[in-house]
Amino acid sequence: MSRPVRLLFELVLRAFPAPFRRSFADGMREAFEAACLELGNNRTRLYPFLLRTTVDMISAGFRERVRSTMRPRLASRSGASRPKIWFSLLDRKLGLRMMGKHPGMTLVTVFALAVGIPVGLTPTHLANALEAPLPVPDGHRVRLLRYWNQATNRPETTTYYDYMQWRDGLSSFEAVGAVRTSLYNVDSEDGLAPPVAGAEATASTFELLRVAPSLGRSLGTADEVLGAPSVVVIGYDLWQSRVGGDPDIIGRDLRIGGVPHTVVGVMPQGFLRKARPRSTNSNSIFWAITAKSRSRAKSGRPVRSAMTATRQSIMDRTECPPRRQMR
Amino acid sequence: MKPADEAPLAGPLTATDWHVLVALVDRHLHGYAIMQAVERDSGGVVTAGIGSLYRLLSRLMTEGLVREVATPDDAPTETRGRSRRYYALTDHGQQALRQEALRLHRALELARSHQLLPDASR
Repeated sequence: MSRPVRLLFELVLRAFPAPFRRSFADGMREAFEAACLELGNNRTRLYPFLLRTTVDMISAGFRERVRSTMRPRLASRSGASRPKIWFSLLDRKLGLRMMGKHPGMTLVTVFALAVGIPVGLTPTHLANALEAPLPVPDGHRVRLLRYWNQATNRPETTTYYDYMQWRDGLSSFEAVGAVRTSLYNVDSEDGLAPPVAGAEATASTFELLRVAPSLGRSLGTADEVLGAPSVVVIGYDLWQSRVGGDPDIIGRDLRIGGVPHTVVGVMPQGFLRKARPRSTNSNSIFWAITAKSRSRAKSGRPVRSAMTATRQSIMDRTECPPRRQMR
Repeated sequence: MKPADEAPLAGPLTATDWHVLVALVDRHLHGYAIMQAVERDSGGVVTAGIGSLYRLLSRLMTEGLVREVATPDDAPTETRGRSRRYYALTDHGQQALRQEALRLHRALELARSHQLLPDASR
């Protein structure tokens, strides 16, 4: 059990009154450690458990404090059996009084909630952010394919060979596209070449994103042929900032990394702007996608099922080493 | 003042009380084992957090339904330097469980008489 987790538990343990802690703190620590040990490093289960435990400890501790304070008072009153509503209102009233009477305890409670809730919710939000569909038509069907090294718990580089294997071999997806994001030096009229975020993409990427350019055309298979002229599809922001939204931009050259590229299309405003923070850069060339390779599940087929079939198919075809699994 | 074991029985038990007491029938368990037993026996419907469980154990001990017992001979006595505390049902706790089981049985019969549940004899 890590030190911060232990400290968090010791902190919330303070929610209970001292006499209670003297009797049960050891048992509670023991139960907490046993539960943490059982959950191990499984963060998706550990963090919600920590959140539930934090809230439960604070809530139970506070109720115990109120109960221990109430016990002598109730004993001193005649007819201790009161209507439940009376106790409930008194419970709340006393709770508010206790907060003022024990500012240290209140501070610990607020601090534990302020730390415990974000700690517990962070993985959920992170998972939601990573799982958020791309802002394109049927975005929930666009899935990221990549290799994941289970030993290092990090993604592994996907090669063009992998892309070709997936494109030709996968039957669960309608289209597979490959994207390599980077920063590129795009020459401007003032002679400078500030770096802008962009990507090299296969023509099929446009097919699966299903967003038509607002000007010109997108990339086609003819552009992928060896020896074909270098072409580029630029983003709306770059079009506005570099050439002032000139409608005659199609067919003109743009020097990227010192190499002239013919502009063949301009993507609509806001295209994939929210797909990745870096794409909010007003100088983005095409757009930016975090994915090394994206694919679109076949219509009508559950995405999860498609992903499972894909994972098995990839493993069958490429003889993945045990620690290199599809995600 | 009456000893705890002779205290009058309370009304219907809560679901958590019931499952904690059932978990302790004929066996002595430590806190974490009780938590697991409650969740397992209730099919995950009833769960007790650590704070709530020990607060509940404290109350059940005050009411004389549960008592702390010595560590069983066959149990590991040390877990990373701390000895575990084991809990068991008192006679009063057994009696409360029987009363609650009887109450639930009557409730079940009532439900059957209203055709809310199939007859057990069928």
